[in-house]
Amino acid sequence: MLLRILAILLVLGLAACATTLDNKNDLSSAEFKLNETKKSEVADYLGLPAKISNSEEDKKQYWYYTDGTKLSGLILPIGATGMTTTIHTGGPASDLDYAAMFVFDENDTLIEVSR
Amino acid sequence: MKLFKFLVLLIVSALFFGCAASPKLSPDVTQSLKGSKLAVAYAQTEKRIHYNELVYKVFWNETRTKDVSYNGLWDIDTDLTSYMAPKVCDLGLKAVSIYDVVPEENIKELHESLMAKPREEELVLSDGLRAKLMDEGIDYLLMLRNDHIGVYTQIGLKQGQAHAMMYVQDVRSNEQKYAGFFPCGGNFKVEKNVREIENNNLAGLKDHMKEWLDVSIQKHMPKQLGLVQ
Repeated sequence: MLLRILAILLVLGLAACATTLDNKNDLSSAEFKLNETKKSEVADYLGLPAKISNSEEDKKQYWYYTDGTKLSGLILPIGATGMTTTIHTGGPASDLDYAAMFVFDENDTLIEVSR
Repeated sequence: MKLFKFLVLLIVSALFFGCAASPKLSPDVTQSLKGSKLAVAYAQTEKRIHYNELVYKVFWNETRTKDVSYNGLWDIDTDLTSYMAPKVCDLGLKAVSIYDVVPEENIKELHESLMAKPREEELVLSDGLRAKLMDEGIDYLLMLRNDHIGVYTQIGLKQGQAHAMMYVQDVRSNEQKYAGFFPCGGNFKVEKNVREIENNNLAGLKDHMKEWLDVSIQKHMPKQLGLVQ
């Protein structure tokens, strides 16, 4: 009986889905070369960053990446009624949540990485 | 039985609210618009994509979000304004892109004023911008304002939605003649992951946005402006 329950739980667990919205590749696996890698290569490998800021003074562009996605709500069944309830969680990401920063010069070349 | 009736009523009411039509421009302004020269503008206040995904977890569902920025990578305002202007002309109106008649600094000032207030608030043009528009013989500003691009995804569904508002502003009196929701969106044609729209310098997103804008200008704008019944 226990084995049957475990088997059912395993099958149900396998049916669960993972989010597809995360960065295209892990930030830790990114190996870019300073003064060589172009902005488009970073975008192609990781996807777009969470925030971009432009410095008009030194013509640099700063890309800030976050890790993972944000849980914004949970939809739970209520008892056996078939109805659901939604719980909203969290607010917008703060500057402290950024996991990596990439700096590009005016020629779109990577000049600095900070993790 | 009472609960059943209540649920049916609730669903029917929700459907009616969901189909609420955008308001129409008053007939006298429509007439005036037909004989006037207008400037068109597309203004995106936040250069970001807001992804939202419903994730199935067997015993519960989660909504996961991620925001990405394309600030400085795509000049969406100039690009979509240029795209819009001839499409609005195709409706039988004399329209020009605001970028062709007004200096960049005045447009920047307009965007800053939009960012400073919610879209529900009445549009007010600066005296400088109005003067430039009037010098060019422009009577009305037809503007689409979008706060961000929303992308909604779950199994088998990948949709994009520009949360846009359409405004018609009388340049001479600085009166807002129209403000209404401008539906613009549709399904993304992507192979696997919706974030493919970011590839090749946002090629997928740009193509989809232009396609949806084109459809909405043809389908919704004539009704909202009272050009058709």
